[in-house]
Amino acid sequence: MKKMSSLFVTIILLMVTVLSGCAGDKISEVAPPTDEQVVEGNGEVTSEGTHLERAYAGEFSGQTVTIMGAFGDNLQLLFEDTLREFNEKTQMNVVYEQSEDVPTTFGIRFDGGNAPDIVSFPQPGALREQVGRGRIANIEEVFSRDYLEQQYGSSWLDMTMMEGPNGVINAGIWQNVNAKSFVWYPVAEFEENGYEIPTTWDELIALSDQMVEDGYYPWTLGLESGAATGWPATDWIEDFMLRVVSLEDYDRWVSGDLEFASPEVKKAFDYMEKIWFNEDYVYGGRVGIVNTNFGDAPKLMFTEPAKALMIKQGSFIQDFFPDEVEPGDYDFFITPSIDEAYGQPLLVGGDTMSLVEGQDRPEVRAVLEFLTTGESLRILIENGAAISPHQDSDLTWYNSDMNRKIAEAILTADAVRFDGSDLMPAEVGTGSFWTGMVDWVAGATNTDEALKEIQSGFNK
Amino acid sequence: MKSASGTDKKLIGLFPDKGVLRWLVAVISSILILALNFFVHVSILKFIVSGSLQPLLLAIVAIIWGVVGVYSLHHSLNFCVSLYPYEWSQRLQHLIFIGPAITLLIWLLLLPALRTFRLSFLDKLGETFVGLENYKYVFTERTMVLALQNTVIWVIVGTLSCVSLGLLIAILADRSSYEKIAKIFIFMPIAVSFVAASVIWKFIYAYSPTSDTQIGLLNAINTAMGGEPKAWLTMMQPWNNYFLMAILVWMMTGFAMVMFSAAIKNVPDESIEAARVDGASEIKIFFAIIIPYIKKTILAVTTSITIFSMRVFDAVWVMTGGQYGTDVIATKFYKEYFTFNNSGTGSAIAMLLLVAIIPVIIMNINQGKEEEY
Repeated sequence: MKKMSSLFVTIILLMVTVLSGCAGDKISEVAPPTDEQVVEGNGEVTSEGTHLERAYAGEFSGQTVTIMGAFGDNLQLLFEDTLREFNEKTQMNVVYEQSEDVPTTFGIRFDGGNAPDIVSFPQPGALREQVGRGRIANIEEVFSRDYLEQQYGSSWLDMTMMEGPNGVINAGIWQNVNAKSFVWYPVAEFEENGYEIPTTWDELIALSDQMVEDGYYPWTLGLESGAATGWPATDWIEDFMLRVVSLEDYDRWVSGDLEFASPEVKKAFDYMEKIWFNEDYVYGGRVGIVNTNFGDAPKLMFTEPAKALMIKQGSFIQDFFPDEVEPGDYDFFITPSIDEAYGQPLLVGGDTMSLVEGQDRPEVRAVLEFLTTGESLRILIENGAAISPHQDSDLTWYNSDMNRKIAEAILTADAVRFDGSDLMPAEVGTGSFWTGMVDWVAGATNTDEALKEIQSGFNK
Repeated sequence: MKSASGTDKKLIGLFPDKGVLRWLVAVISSILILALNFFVHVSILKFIVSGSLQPLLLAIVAIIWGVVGVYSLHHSLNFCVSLYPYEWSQRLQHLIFIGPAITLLIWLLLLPALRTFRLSFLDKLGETFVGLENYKYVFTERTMVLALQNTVIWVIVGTLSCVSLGLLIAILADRSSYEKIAKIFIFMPIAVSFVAASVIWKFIYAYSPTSDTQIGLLNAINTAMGGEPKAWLTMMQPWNNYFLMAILVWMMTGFAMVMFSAAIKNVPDESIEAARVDGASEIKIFFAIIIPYIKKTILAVTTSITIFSMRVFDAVWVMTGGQYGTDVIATKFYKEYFTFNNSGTGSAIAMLLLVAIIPVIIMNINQGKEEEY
């Protein structure tokens, strides 16, 4: 018995030593092959052509690439269809992971050494923060500037140039883009009552008053959006800012130099207040706004009879229209101008796709290259769920005149600016701006208090 | 213990009992075996993490490593200890059992806590020293102060309601013929996760504009009785905080009730009968006999629920996202640390929560100790 136990110990010790020897060997084996390395499969040399061509040739078959993004529901299903098609063609395993809160989840995963290969940010501001922390790789090390300019208009490229720890890098490529300055309406009610499309603020107010007289609520508004509650109100402010101040002032406002408490910004709030706080204008009044989910709000335009006739939202809101509503049943106009000098600028937004630092592998490059082509959005476009910024996307893909009209509107706008809250620091853009708007609409603070509260986010 | 002394006897023949040589052999082999263990297990860990195995194979290797690893670790350490002179091997024996647990505690609990403490004095990115700036922010910024106030209300109102309701129900159920059924219904919510409970309550509080059908239970009742629908969670500040606390009470009252019920059954019938014979009223009996008997349980339950309500997060996050003045310490921490990526203020809030909870935990543990006697 005594002998047995010491023998046992010896065996165990031997065993673990041998095991550890194996382990050491294995570790050195899994070192990633470099890009230049010629990978041989079935005895034939296949490393020719771009990474995407190599992927279609089956070179990366069996390789896994993960994409993390925020878009869910319908968009997620369509994007997963796209990936399924891509995976069938390449025999790769490209997976999309949806996260409600990408900046948070991505940060945790990156720090934990479990980062996705490609990350999609719905907010350029959040992307900039991650770039500043050195978590995003320079996309121009993967693609030449020439190639990118061939795929995108150069103004799109300029908007992803961001400051990283080692200088300015191009932080990502544009995927699904959208414009937010649209007012949607049901065509039937407009035709029935002979309403005309307003192009100025006065016309808009006159139209709203007419609707009230005809027994309608002109507007339907929803502020609730889970942990992101408040963002729909920030879009209104941004649109009005573009209409009451110059583009230079808008940029100063976004960077925090033009304070929220300044008269210019207060003017935008005053215009918004004229619609939002008018109980005759908004279905459900302020209580209704605060308690309505942004995705439920448009449904009121398609009830029998219609409860409200207008909603100002981004082009994506069509996904939230009832299933039986067809693109011909509704239409949109660009939010009317307030000051003629500034016209009708368009507020745009979009998803970026960024290469995560440390994940630059050939198969990831292949997927990124796929994402720089309009083809990666084709299924979404055909389902009316995306507007493509890619030069090689085909206008005939759009399943409706509507989306073609949106795509054209984006190209021919008086001016284009990004969603300001997306570009502000997270403390403001996803913090005090949201909370400030919510408290203001709920009546917990007056305008001056709200402006002060939102501005305080810049000073954190 | 038996095997240790067994090995010990065997080794007496090999080495002089208390000589320098024996100490030398013991110390050197302990160091070697510890180092070997460390090296082996770190290597296996690295191998597993490298992901070069099929998932199924990986799972099997991990399980084998887990079982055989612990076994070999224990035996090799036991072997080390047996090399020391008898009285020393007796002393060191405890370390074999306590050692791994202490190591894990230091690694997973103490080190992160110390790191958080350090971060709370650094700036947003955790790079430069800012002194007490973060703590100043925590105690003076308007939304932070509101979150602190709310947490205090949660702790006081939430805990008091749970404990008093639990006690009341336990007493009443004790005398009821439907005791079991009543207790089952009240205990059931504790089996629901906090997030699921919040979703259920979201429907209870749901609001639709006056002219629409009310899908929220509370507003449906309210309008059926002729009232106006109310936006319970949003417009009714600060009362919306109390509506959120209702979820905590709904869930934790069952826990309190079960604990009290068990304690009440332990109160000796003789004492109560004696009191009745002496002509004491039921209320007098409750306060003079039952309460003193179950005092320790009351304290234990109170401290448990206090800790629970101090770190409440899910209910607030799901129901309001901390908007409409419902932020508590935990939601504020999440926003600062993860949403705003501010490790400085986030860590300061975490330290505050830690410092506030420690005394309650100590009370809770001491309580458990006394109860053993």
